[in-house]
Amino acid sequence: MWIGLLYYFNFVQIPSMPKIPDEQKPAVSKVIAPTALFFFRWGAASTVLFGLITMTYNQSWNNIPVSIGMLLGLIMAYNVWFIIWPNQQKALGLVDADPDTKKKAARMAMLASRFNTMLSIPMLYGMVSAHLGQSW
Amino acid sequence: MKKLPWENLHAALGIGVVLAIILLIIAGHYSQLGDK
Repeated sequence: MWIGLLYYFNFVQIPSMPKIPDEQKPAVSKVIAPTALFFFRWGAASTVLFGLITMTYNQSWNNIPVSIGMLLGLIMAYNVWFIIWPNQQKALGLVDADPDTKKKAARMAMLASRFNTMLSIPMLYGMVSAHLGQSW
Repeated sequence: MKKLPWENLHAALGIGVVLAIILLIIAGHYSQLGDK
């Protein structure tokens, strides 16, 4: 769910917002985005929780690619909770902010989201690499 | 405002693939060590 919503933001919502007429933008910023962000941040938290449980259960911290995947996932989850979410709250008007702060917050949230999209590719590889056999 | 390398979606995906290939090489290296 987490990565699905990350790709929704990067492949669908961010590129579509400039094409939506101003009077229709609140449908996204006030309804769709806050709901998507709720599942996005809790999806990130639950991925970390179940990742740590799985890693402990399988004792896979000895597996370097899996550990790197886990580290990338932790960096991404940190981005979600401590960079994207606080900035999105300002950008979407969920907390009070002046227009200049909103604009800066929207850019910061977009950059962190795009950074996570970049890291998602090696992270997903790291997560599955243990099951791919030695040739991969 | 200064553009960052991963700001463009296609650039972000391209860098992500390169990072995944680096991880693949690391995985290959450690699996070979396991063979010895």
